Amino acid sequence: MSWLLPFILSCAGFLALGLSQSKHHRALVGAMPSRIRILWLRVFGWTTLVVASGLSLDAFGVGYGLVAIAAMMNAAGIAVVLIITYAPTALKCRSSA
Amino acid sequence: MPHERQSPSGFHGAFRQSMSWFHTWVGLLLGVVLYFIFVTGTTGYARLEITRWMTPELGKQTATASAISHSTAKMAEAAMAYGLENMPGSPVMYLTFPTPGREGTAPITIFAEPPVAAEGSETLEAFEGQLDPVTLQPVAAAEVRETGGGDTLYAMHYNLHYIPFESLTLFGFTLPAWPTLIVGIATMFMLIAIVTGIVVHKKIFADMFTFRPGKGQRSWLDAHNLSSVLALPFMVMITYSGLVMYTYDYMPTVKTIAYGVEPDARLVDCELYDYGCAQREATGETAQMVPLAPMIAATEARWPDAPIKWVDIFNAGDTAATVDVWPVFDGQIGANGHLSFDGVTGAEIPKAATVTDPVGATGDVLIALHEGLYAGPMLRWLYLATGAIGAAMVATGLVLWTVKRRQRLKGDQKADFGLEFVERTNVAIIVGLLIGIAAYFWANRLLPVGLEGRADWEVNAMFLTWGATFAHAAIRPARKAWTEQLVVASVAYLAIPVLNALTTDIHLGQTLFVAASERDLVLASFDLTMFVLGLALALMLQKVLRKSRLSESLMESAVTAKMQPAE
Repeated sequence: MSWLLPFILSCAGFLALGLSQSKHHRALVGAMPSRIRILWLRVFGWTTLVVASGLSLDAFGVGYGLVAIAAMMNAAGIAVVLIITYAPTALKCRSSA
Repeated sequence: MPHERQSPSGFHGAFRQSMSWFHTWVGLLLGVVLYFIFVTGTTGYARLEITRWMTPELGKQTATASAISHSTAKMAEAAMAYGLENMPGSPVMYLTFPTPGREGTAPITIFAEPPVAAEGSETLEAFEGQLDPVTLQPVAAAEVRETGGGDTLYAMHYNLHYIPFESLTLFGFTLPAWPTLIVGIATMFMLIAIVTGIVVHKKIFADMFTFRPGKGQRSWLDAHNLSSVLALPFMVMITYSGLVMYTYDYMPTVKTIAYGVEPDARLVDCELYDYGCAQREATGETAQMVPLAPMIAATEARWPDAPIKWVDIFNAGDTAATVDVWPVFDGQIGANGHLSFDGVTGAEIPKAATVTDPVGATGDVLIALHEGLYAGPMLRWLYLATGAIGAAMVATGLVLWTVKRRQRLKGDQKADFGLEFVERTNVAIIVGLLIGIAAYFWANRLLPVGLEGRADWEVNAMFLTWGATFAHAAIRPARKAWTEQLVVASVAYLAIPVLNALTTDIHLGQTLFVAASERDLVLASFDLTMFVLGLALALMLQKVLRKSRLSESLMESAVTAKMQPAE
């Protein structure tokens, strides 16, 4: 549990930050994001990452927690890249089938 | 962006372009060393687990067998007696105990250095022995196969295995030993490559999550950027801490100023590495050693959460005997410490008051982060994954160099020798090394158990195989070499669980597909990880095959002037 929640939050945070970029938003959601939405995605993304770090530090202590959250964010980053890259094609395939 | 031609306008353009030039060529020239360091070094995060898999005679460690029935005190006592019996008068003896959980029922190891030979007589060889942690009886060499295990494999990333640990003296300056020197140069340039890479990568934030597959050079650049940017903290940490570990080799003057040209090795060990401070000159008079149990108890009381891992005994059986007891600090980065005792009276020898040393403490933390010994299983998996991403970063960089140049060729212009050469060696570097490591594991299972110099032959098998992949890449067209070596690599890894099942009784049928209490998930994860690695290589193979089919069909359609969409 001490690993799962910070990891999921890191994924959510990075996904929000990714979606706050117009090119990814358009590919995943299908429309350009409004200014307000970009702002919200950024606020949500950064807040979530901060909360994830806090949870990790709280669960593992400062030293271990920092390493753990760095490693988790690294893995989360890869996961989000895979989602952003392949989700649009996967969704398109399903809707055309 | 490093790989787009741009006219250098003003200082920034010129600066970026020269950084790009540097990044490209340093990466190409040192790519093979860096890839080797990343791949073999990464295995180090699982080296105890790899050693367990490579010594199948030690069997499974199930929930029931996991509680090693003897206390550390009893193990230490038996190990010391065994060492003394086989190497009386040993000036220094190292006892190592298996870590519960990670090494299972790995033996207790005893290493005793021989006494200084009297004039005219030959120095004895050091004594190396093993005791079974459960029965406390000596493990006969014939029972457990001789193997380098995970230790030999991971140590290659800093000792380069075959390169002798000798150093050159130039104009009175002694250079670091060859392997340290080569790895050090590669590491320093790696650090430069990281910094220049950040400089030339203009859109770190805009391209943070951007991967555009199927677009040739663009995709390789994306992959190269992603693997380095997302794992950047790890890359900087692992590279910088690697240099810190050898500070006194790379910047020897610091040591020379403090300790002179011919330093007192003991003083240096004590002051720089906190090792052997309590040891004393042997008197030559024999004395009865006191039991180790109270010393171990005192150390356990001092650090209750840290299991005892090593006991060093200096001048065992001499009136000047001293004992150092070292616990292992799981979960605490950079923590270390030990207690020293008088071996004859059993009294604790207090440490000389040391000044608080923030630089030393920082170094300890960096080294701990590099080694990852403190890390629990979950974090070690993440270390493994990140190390693999580091290897991927080097590999994608190497491929990028060739893709970029191939794309620049016009029409039917032929590739020059340099491009051909790098294209071919890339195959043997990237896939060939993985085939070589597979051969290391295969050799562990297939070489006869009693073979003379067996551990050496495992390594020879690895490097002979790796060498063969270079020969193969030299005689095959690059694209064919990719597919053929990927076939070999994926089959070699996919078949490891099968090979294991055919040659041992610690296969998945025994370690995973049994009642929960009989499982050994450490051994099972080795088999499964190898299988997943095989799958990943098969996926790469599929991509390469699809790509070559695509380019063939494009060529055909160009001939018949009928553009048909590739499936």
